[in-house]
Amino acid sequence: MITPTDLQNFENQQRAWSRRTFLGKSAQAIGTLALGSILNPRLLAGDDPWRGVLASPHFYPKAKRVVHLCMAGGPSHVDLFDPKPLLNRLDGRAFPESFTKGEQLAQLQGTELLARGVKTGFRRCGLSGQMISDLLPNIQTIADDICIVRSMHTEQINHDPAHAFMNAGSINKGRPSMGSWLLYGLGSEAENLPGYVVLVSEGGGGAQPISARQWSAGFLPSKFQGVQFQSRGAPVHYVGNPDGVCQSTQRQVIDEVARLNGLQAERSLDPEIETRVSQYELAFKMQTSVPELADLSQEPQSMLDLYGVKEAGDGSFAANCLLARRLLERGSRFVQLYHRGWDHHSNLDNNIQVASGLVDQASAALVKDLKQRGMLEDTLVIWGGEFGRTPMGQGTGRDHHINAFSVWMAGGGIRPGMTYGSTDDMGYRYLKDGQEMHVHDLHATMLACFGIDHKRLTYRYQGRDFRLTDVHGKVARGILA
Amino acid sequence: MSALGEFVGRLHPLVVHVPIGVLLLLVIVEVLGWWRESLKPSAGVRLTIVTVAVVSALLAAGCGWLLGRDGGYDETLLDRHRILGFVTLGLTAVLWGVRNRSRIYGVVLTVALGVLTWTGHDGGSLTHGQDYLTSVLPSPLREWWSDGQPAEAAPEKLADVHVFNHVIQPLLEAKCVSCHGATKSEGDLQLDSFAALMAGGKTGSVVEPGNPADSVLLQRLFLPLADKKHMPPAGRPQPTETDLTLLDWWIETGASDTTMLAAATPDPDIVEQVALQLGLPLPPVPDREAMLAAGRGLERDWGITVRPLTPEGPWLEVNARLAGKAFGDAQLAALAPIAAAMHRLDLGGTAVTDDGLVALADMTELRRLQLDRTAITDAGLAHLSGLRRIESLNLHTTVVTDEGIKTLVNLPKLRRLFVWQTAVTKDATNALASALENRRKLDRYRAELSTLEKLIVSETFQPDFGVEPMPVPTVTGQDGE
Repeated sequence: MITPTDLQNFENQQRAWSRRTFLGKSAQAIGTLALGSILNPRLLAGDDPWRGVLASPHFYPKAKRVVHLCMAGGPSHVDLFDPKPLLNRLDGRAFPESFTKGEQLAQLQGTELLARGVKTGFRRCGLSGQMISDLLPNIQTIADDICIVRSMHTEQINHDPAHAFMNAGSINKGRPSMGSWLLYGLGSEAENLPGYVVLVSEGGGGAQPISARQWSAGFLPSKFQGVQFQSRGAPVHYVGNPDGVCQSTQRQVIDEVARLNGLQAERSLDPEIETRVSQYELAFKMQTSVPELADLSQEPQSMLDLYGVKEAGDGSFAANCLLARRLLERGSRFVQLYHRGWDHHSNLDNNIQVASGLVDQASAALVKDLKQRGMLEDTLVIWGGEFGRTPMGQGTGRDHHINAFSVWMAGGGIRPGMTYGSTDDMGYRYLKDGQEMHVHDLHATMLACFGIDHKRLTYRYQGRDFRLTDVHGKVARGILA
Repeated sequence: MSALGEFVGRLHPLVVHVPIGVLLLLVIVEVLGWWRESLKPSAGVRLTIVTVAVVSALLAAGCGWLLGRDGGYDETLLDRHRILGFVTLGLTAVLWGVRNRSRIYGVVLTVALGVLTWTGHDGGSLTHGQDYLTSVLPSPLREWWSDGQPAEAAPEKLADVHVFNHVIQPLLEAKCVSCHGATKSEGDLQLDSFAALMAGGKTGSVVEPGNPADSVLLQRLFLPLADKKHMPPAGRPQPTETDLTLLDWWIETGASDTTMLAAATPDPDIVEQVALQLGLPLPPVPDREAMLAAGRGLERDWGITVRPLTPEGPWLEVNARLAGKAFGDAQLAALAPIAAAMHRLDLGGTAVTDDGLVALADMTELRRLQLDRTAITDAGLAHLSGLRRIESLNLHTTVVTDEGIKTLVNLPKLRRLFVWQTAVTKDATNALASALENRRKLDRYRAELSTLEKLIVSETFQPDFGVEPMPVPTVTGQDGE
């Protein structure tokens, strides 16, 4: 781990140090309040949960949590949310050169470009009449709850940097992901579970790897990084105690380790030691909270059927969605589900059907379930990939495409039942109609749902203030409810 | 009477200013001549002015006589004005006859000036109401004028506000009584006292207690300004939005002339409007720092989170969900110090019961309340009646029934109700929704009218529905990038 050495961080450490000294002293005073502490779980815990760097939101917040359903690989926008009749008419014919001349392409660079029509039908859905592909029959049923953004565009044409860009607004290593920014800004309400959890599933062909750097805290203290849970079997391995060790023994061990770490921290002033102490504490709590979290036997069969969960912990997107809802209920701030199965360079017709089939029911079920529990009011759902796919064919598939793609959002202060932004007649490029949505704009809008001004959530690192949107970002007010 | 006669009659207020002006001119000219020999008017000038005065006075008297036949004025005052008008005309004629006999000429001119002033004032009283001038006299003068009777004391605090006398009557006085008063009662409608208001006018009653939408008074006020039935007529001082809101509220709550504001248990928005209208101090807002400090103590004591919602102001979001069953009625009661500052309260899954909900009575600012997965029943919902601002209420997975839901009709701002996994039927929620909507019939009427106005405007002008017009999609995709 790189130890930050600049002056600003040194000052941060000094602050942390003096706070610990303070806590140590007040612990003695608290000892006299033994009776009070029986009623009071926080006094016993003795730690100081991070409440966020923002004393209060910059404006009235709507959202409290996010679930990001990341369709890793890049789903085809023209096949799912952005119907293009002209593209269908030109199916198999040369793609108009006026679109592509001088453009950066991925694998199609230098090849003959042919328009590729869309094989599946679209229909108008719900009272809002939003156009959604028949590949997503369940998402069609929640049309009035979601806002489809058709004018998304990004700057990165390959998977790993595009994910980094989608998460951190930059491809430079060391930049925090959006989940980490939220934890840094607001903290998490979950005391016994991580505030930022990642789950990964796959299926649908073209499963590209996902690097753990996507949920890194970057230059923020690493206690804000995402924690990946296993989607197969137990979410966290080895949470049980070994034979012969009971919880109270475990407690003593943790306390002793924390004491030793405290001694070291006073000598070296390394904030990562503080992270380690808090991670030990969290891990101890997770020994009880995680088995409870993962125990899907608490869910009635009807709920499993709603999501389409066949078996708990089977690694499916459906099981992850159900687990995501349980995490959100327990106070996690940011839950990110990656479904690796959307990189359809070939055999698109079949693969998109498989991938859609794997995510459609559970995605819609998650929105419906959050809605019936009243949680959609303050939970922001974001569904989409790191980029889109070309309206030009690539053999039997489509190539990566950055000039236009679609995401949808729901809840958490997003206006439901509307389509925002549009693309040209071929679905090649977003239109500059005042409704364009760059990745930075998406980040700014997401933070706005939390009552955060994206220009004012900053962290000073290596001599300058950084933010999630860097020097960009425009809040898409048109989609805020 | 013929339309022409009516038309000519209505020219009276215009024409009448000619003889007034000319007579005053004559007085000025004569006074100057008396003061300085060099300024003395020649016989020709005097003849011209007096002749114009006689002719214009004749015209004004003729028009006035036609106008007086229309009726709709206070008869006594009208008779006097008519007689005085003709006296003025006669005096002007005499003036013409004696214009060369300086002594008697001066006497007649002085008398004419006096009669003219009296006539003019009566004319003004006929048009604008008898106390048009005196009502705005500085207070000591007014008391002297009205025989030493002090004007009704203005209330000094909100508790002293009498709804009709202090809010409704002054509003009618200011905007309606000049035409619908004792002096001039157009349409046989007088709005200068409660009895007269309730008696109605030519077409019957104008106020339907409890039913603003059917009250002709409000219907006329809400018509578009361009409509010839709109009141007050275009060009007259129009009621403000606040005036309309207050009238609407007063009629909706039964149009009583005895209620005190405090007893009417009105919407806090109404209290605010009344306070602004009467220039009274607003109900105090809790102190931010005190609320935050109290919140921190409660967090420590009960394992809940208390977070500010705004950068300024005391408004709080309280989440007890995370404390679970450890949070019960006693803890809810312990929230009393911050009760007045809570906007959102999450009691989902806690151990609160019907009895504990008594504590909600003080939480009048609540916008969002979550009671899902608790033991509350229909009996508990009765304690919600004071939540005048509540917009979102979560009751999922409780034992509430249709009976309990019926009581929610008294929560005027309620927009979202979650009753998943309860015995509440679709019929009950539909009934509640339509009942809540009916209360706001007038709002909808107003919204419809404004939409209609916009539609009409858009036929001739640029459409403006608050969104950017959709651009024509281009096929080139090379829009200047």
